[in-house]
Amino acid sequence: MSNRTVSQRPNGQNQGKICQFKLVLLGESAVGKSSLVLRFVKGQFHEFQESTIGAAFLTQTVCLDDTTVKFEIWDTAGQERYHSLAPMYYRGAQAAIVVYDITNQDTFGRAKTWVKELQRQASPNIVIALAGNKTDLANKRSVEYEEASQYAEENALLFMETSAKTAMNVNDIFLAIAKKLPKNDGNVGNGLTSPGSRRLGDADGGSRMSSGCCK
Amino acid sequence: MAEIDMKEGFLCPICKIDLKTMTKLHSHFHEEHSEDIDIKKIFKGVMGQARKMIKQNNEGDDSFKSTNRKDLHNLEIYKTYQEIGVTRSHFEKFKEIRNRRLEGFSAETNKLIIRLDKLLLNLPSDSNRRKLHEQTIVPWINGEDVSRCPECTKSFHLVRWQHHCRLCGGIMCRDCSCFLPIAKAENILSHTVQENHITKETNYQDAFRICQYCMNLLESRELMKASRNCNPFITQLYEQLRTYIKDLDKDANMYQKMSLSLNEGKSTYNLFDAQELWEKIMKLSEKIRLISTKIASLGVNNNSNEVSNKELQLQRAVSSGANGYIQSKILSLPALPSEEIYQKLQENRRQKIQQEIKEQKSEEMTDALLSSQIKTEYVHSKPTLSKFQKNIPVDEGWIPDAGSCVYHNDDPILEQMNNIRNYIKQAREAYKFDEVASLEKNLRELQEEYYRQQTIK
Ligand SMILES: Nc1nc2c(ncn2[C@@H]2O[C@H](COP(=O)(O)OP(=O)(O)O)[C@@H](O)[C@H]2O)c(=O)[nH]1
Ligand SMILES: [Mg+2]
Ligand SMILES: [Zn+2]
Ligand SMILES: [Zn+2]
Ligand SMILES: [Zn+2]
Repeated sequence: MSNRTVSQRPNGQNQGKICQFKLVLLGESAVGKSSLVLRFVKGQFHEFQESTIGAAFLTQTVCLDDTTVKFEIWDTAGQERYHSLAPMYYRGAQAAIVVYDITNQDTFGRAKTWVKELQRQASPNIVIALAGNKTDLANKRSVEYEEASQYAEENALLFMETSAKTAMNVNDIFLAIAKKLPKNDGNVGNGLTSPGSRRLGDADGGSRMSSGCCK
Repeated sequence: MAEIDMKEGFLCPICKIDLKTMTKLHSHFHEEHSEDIDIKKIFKGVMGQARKMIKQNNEGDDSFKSTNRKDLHNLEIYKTYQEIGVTRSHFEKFKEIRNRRLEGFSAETNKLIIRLDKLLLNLPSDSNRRKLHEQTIVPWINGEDVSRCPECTKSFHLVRWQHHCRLCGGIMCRDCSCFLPIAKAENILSHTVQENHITKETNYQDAFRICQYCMNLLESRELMKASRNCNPFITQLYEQLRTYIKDLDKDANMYQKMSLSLNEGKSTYNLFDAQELWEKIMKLSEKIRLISTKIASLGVNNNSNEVSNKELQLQRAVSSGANGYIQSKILSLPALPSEEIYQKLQENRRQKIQQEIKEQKSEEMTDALLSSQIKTEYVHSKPTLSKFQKNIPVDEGWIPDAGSCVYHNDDPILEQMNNIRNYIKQAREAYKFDEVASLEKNLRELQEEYYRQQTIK
């Protein structure tokens, strides 16, 4: 793994820890994975989001109490023909968001398969969140909230219904994941147990930190 | 974030380089990062497998799934996937193939829409700058090696120039170019539906030159959009037909109940009401007949050739379905007795009931008997009165002593009786004959009570 590090916030207030986590988005194509990321990272939504080729990589930083959490987000393409790429991206990830479209029952079935695959093949401590996207299309709903929420409970997943369009629960689900990720010193900076999560040094002046922090 | 660190493509998850193709990504990952013990273990099998998959994928898409499934089972990490036994349904596979196609089309169309959006944004009016703008958004295919138009296969030369599609960058000749007016393009982007079509005219001042293929994609998207919103005349007629049929069903049920009851000589319902309901049913079925002929002849009379055979077939099916419905419905309805016969029926029934009463009165011939006689008398006096009901206002026709309602209105029973008569009138106007029946029963009880009070005095 590369040793990219991130500087502290320029305005030098007391920092606490800085953690970096690898997060991967999985789910059938067109359920809105890219849209969720775009909403979370840029605050935007495109009615006609071009479908992702291969995978997309983005970063976003959030502040949690005294911890700064930087997400390295891997947004994968959902099409079946890219399936063989997926393990590359979810391996070593500390968190995954499995997305389905509440208006399409098939995508929920696909989401369950992804969860199963993650439980078997991803890091054992991975935090998995299930997102039922496109809640703004409530009149076309075909996956009931209770059904998904019960499934999530049985599998110990974080669960929220989201809308990339209206921004509903988008920041919340990322924040909930950030909260659930291990940030105590035992985990942070220990590259062996969880290679993607490390405490970041103060050196290396590349100022990648965002002003979007703590918004 | 002011500047967002975003990459997309066949990115190596470790060094984040875009390897451009899936094959290259797989082999790069294998070669560069396999020292990473952790990952090596995991991917050793997968990488080889992936290579095979890709080879097979190149040979033919259809064999892709089935062949590699089999091979996957040899892999350690996929062993747990074997839980499903033998299944036969090919529906999933069909859906997969179909979805992939649909997905391909919609992704392609989406791409065009996004490009169209970008093209329209700050579109320069100066033609040279506009061309530059267009080419930065959609790079044009290099035409050096293209000697013939891919659409009509005519060769390019001094007089037949190459032109570029502004949406896909492809090449075509002048004759094969389509033009998408800017106004229409804006329309496509907004969510409204409009009639005007993409033209083939050669006026390209305020239009984008596009190829037939891109045009087809956009047009079928517009058609889909339009079909979602429109409510054609035939649908409106059909909906009207459905409501008539629903009304008729309701009325026919009511009528059937009334008719059966009347034919037994019962006085629950009123013969005149039933006759009126019958007329209403006839009128409704006439309306249904009219509307169904109209549906059958849609687009036939004005010989506009816009109705296809299938449509005609459907229209005729709807029409004959409706006619068949009316016939079977009307035939199934029992006829009403004539007034004369009804009176006889009532008489028979009264005698029968009195016969029964006589048989019962062996022991108790006291008050109980008397009141039951009064009761039957009241029950059977009603229909005779109701004969005149059309002429006589309900409010008067039912009061034993004309005008008594004015003088005795302080009597709460009389007042209540008046109210109920009023309700009955309203219920009858609304063809709610079940309510009429129960209100009339209520009224009879009140009358009995009133009569008893009067005789006690
Ligand atoms: N109404 C609605 N549409 C959405 C939402 N999220 C995504 N979309 C649309 O769904 C389509 C597919 O989204 P995309 O992000 O490309 O899905 P991906 O293939 O999972 O990355 C796009 O047309 C989006 O505009 C949402 O929350 N509500
Ligand atoms: Mg995407
Ligand atoms: Zn690499
Ligand atoms: Zn041509
Ligand atoms: Zn084109």
